[in-house]
Amino acid sequence: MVSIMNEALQLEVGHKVLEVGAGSGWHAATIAELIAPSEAPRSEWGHVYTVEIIQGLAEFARKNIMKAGYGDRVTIICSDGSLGYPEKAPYDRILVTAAAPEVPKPLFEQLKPCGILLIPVGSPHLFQSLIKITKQANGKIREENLGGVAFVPLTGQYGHKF
Amino acid sequence: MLKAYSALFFIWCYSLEKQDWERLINNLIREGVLRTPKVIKAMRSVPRTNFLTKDMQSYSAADTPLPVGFGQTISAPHSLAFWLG
Repeated sequence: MVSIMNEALQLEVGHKVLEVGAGSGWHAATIAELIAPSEAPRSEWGHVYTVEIIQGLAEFARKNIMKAGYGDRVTIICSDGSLGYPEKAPYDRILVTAAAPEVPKPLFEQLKPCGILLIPVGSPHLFQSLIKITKQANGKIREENLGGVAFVPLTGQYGHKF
Repeated sequence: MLKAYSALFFIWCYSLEKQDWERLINNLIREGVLRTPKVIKAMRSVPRTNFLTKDMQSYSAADTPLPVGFGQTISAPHSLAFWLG
């Protein structure tokens, strides 16, 4: 279990990251600190693109990110994140912070070779499995179940329908 | 005078919050959830309190999810630590 945990997102300086579900922006800011640390030269910085479907929350996240000083490393987009963000694809890492009925096809397509996608998959309002998908260099897919999690449901085109 | 006292009070609250966050990070390290030095550093540098609504800020260092409005939640610190490794 511990060794699996250690392997979860494997973020490196310079990574381009897509987050589906910005929430209040905390994940994105913490990830920015890993892929674009203040002490690293700007030319080596990666970038976080985080998509939020709820407009009020996207505005709250933008305000928080700016205030925390990560406005130059994080971009908040208000749209349907279940479609990913093709404008800046492909991504080294994609994380989904909401429970999906299954892995949205556009997200998989927007992942670079050797990229990692982390997504809770399962029923809404109950528990889900945290699935880690690795797109291997030979094009094959490796799928691992990292255990039970509980997230708010993913909405939008590839999300849960209510 | 009152102004000076209230300013001091806010500084005191802020330092308490900082201490609480530090204590939470140390707990996550002790429990083995936080293991990678660069992840520990990143989580230390970005306290959750700056991403909460005012009414929730005093719960910032509690290791549980919290409401952020719009029917949505912010993750528990151990949960983000788990994702980052």
